[in-house]
Amino acid sequence: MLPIVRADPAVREATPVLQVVASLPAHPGEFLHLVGVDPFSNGELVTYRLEDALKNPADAIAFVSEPDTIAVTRPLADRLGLKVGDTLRAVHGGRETTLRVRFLLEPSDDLVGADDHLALADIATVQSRFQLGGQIDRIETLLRAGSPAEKENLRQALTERIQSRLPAHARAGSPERRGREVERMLGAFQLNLTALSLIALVVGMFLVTNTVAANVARRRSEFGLLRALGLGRRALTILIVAESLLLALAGSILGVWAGLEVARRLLGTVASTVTSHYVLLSMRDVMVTPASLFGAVVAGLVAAALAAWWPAREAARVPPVDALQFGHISDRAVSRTHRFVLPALVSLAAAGLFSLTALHGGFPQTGFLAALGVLLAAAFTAPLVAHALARVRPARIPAWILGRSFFLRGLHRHGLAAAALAVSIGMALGVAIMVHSFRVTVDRWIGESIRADLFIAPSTNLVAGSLEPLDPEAETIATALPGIRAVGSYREIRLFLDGAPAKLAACKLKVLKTCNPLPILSSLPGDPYELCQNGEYAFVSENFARRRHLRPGDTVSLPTPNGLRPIQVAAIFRDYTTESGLILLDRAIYQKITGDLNLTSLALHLEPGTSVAPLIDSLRAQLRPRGEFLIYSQSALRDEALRIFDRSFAVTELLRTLAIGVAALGVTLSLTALVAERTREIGMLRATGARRGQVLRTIMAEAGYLGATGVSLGAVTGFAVALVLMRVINRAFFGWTIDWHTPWPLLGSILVFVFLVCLLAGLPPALKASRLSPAEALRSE
Amino acid sequence: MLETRDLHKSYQSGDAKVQALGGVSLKIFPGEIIAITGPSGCGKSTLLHILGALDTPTSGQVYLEGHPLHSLNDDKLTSLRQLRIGFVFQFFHLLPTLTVEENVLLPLLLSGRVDGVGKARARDLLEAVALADRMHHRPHQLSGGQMQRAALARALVHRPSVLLADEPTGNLDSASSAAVVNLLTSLARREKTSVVLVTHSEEVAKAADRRIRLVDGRIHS
Repeated sequence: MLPIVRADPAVREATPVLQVVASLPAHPGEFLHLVGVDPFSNGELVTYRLEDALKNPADAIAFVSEPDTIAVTRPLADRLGLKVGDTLRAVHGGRETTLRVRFLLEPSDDLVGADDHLALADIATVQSRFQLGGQIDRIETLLRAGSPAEKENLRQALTERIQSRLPAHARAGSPERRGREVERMLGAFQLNLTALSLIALVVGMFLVTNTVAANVARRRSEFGLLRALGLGRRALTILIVAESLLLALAGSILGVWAGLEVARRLLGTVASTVTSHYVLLSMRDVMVTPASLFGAVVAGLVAAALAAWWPAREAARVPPVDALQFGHISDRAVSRTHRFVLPALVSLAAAGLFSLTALHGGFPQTGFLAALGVLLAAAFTAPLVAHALARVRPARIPAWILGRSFFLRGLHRHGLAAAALAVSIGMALGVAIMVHSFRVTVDRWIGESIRADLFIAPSTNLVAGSLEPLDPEAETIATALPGIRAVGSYREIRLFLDGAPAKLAACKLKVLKTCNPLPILSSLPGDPYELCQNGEYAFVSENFARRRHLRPGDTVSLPTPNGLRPIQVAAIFRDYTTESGLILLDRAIYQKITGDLNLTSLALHLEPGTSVAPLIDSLRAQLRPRGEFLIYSQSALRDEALRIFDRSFAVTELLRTLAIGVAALGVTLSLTALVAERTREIGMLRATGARRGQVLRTIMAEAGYLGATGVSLGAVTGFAVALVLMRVINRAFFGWTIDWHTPWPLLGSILVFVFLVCLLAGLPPALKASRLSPAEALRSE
Repeated sequence: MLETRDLHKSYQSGDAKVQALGGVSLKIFPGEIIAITGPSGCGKSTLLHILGALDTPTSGQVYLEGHPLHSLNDDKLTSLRQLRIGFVFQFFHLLPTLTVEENVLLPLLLSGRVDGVGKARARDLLEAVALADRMHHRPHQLSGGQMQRAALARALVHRPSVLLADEPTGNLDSASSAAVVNLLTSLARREKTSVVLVTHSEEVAKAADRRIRLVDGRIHS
């Protein structure tokens, strides 16, 4: 293809690139992202700022003339203790070679997307050292000069011209398209994080509303005076919102700073999650554009303005005479709870509607709106639940009776705090149920579907995902070992089908059938294993079939070097290895149609009674000269799979804690505001003979009612959220079936924990109330 | 008997020291009704709070039935309030989510004495203030006068030896004021309870056995 591309009139320059991931036996856990480039044609493309390392023509000659030359980044060299002139053993595809570090690459801001594992070599060096003669990954081209519009036309014309001459598994496109594809792969992951962050923002909005409402109540007479002096309703609303915005600005800036700190701490976790699921990614620092920081501040301000608007408007609506009078505020609140019934029902109906559009309308994103609908319904129901709970008449414990009375009286404020609590608890429980169900489902699936006793894979796959092929000799070595019943092989590549990512895998179906049958959900009549071994048939995973609406007998067009190949679906099986979906072919068929003879891993089935440990030792001893391998036992693989699973969901736990923390802050705020509002009432109680401890317990009882409201409503909401997450969002996005498993002990402990947090959150205002001097409290009368 | 000797009370307000009471000595005898009058800021409420064991003087002594209020700790003062002192406030301060009866029972509830006797006492008082038919109502269903009558029943339910009323008619119309004052005095006499009434109203002050006028924190007449 290279001569064809170079000869094209639209192309000014074209350069070939070959990328491999190579493990470093001397440095366990480290790897090279080795990029083979052509320094002569690469010059103008300056993809890797090679010219920084090659400072003079003599360097360039050395770069190509010495067949073992590589350039590594300075951070990697420092980490590995390498100096210019040192050698480095590297393994790729079972081939070990020695490379010599002759140049150091300085970290450059232009190297977006690369990291310090990057190493450069002449393309011929990479090809010859790893016996990849003639192979290239891609051709990077530079178009002839022209205006942006001309360039765009040139690009489109060139893409069309080249695409028609490319084999089916190769694609022509702009660098942006490649970026978009990666984005698309990461889209679901990002969406999950974004949705959780948005829920934290919504809970934050409750907090702002609560704060503004408390502020408005506290300064009621001040606002009444302003109104009496001639300030209009609209002006008062603007005044209150503007005041909130000032606070929100400080809060948003603080939030952005805290967010960056948290991001830095989470970097490693997220990078390894992305690598194990999607693409090789190694991150050492958080990259944020000023625009996104600005966007975050603006989002904070907009959320605050929206949240502040409602209480501001309510305050502005109060006639000045009423505002200047004492009392009058809260008696209405008790009787106003019914007005939230309709919004709650509307939110629930919207949740149902959005669930339908997500599942059947082709708009999976609306699944998140369905979740939001459920949460909003919970928020609107909060005052009703609070009122219903307060109907439980307490025994003759003074603090309980008074706490209930205070709680009922404070519903105008507690409604919001309870809503925020219910939303956070609902989200926390929903995610907890989903993650637990998913984990149990996957765990059971692993137990049922992974029957091999030992697994062998190149060690770089642990850090770099399944990228480096396995040394083919490993299969021969494993097969020759005593006590081996069968050796299954596995090959997996990532590809794009109709613009969406998917995984194509191949294995020895004969071994699979006898030693490790797949959990088949539906299949063509007859034996699907036989079909797949004898013809161009494939197994496809459940999520692949569901997302592409495939049934057994339907056809998938597979891109191969010889053009698109129609492959018929023989059976659909349950699989949780990849969210993008999996097509599984028999190894022989795969090799025939793709020409790819590489392997990704091996699965060893042992004869009954063979002991595993000596076999592992023997395998290690024989494989050691051929590079670094991971050898997992069945239980270790299961543990590893669950470790990756747990790591993937670790971030959600943090967001969950954050949301509950924010909601707990709401409890403190709500009670603090109410204690301020009720100074005289507390004074009256103290005058009537209430002890400090009784006042403290009264406010704590109130916090208890508030916590009970949030916890009980949150528990119900949690199940509803879990239902949406598992049956709507998961199905719409990933197409997996997740069996429902309720983690009762976890749910119980979360609920008890949140309830205790609520009590704890009530303690500062309760202490403040109990310490009020009765004379001071009454003096304000 | 309630007695004060050379009571002084001063506050710090910013950099300035405000003298609220400047040597008040008085005696209030059992069953006596006295009215404290005087312009705003003369120290009426401060005196009332000290008499009601809500506040302590800067110097001087105050005795309630022999108990030295000026030297007791918060716990002891609270116990005294629970047993011997009743309060009526200008803004009633009924708890809106409790019924009228529950509001009246509040002092007994706080001291753990809600029993059959206590309930009978509350009903008796509610009849006396003509609210027996409203005992299961919530405060917001009552008029201002009715609310203050309920507050009066609350102040007397635990048979205090002294009842302190801070502008009890300050938030009522004249007809309701007269009714509340009549009830207050008649019930106090029936119960043999001393009453200290802080008021601006001449009409209310006339109902007292004795009037004390405070000016600038001192007894003027």
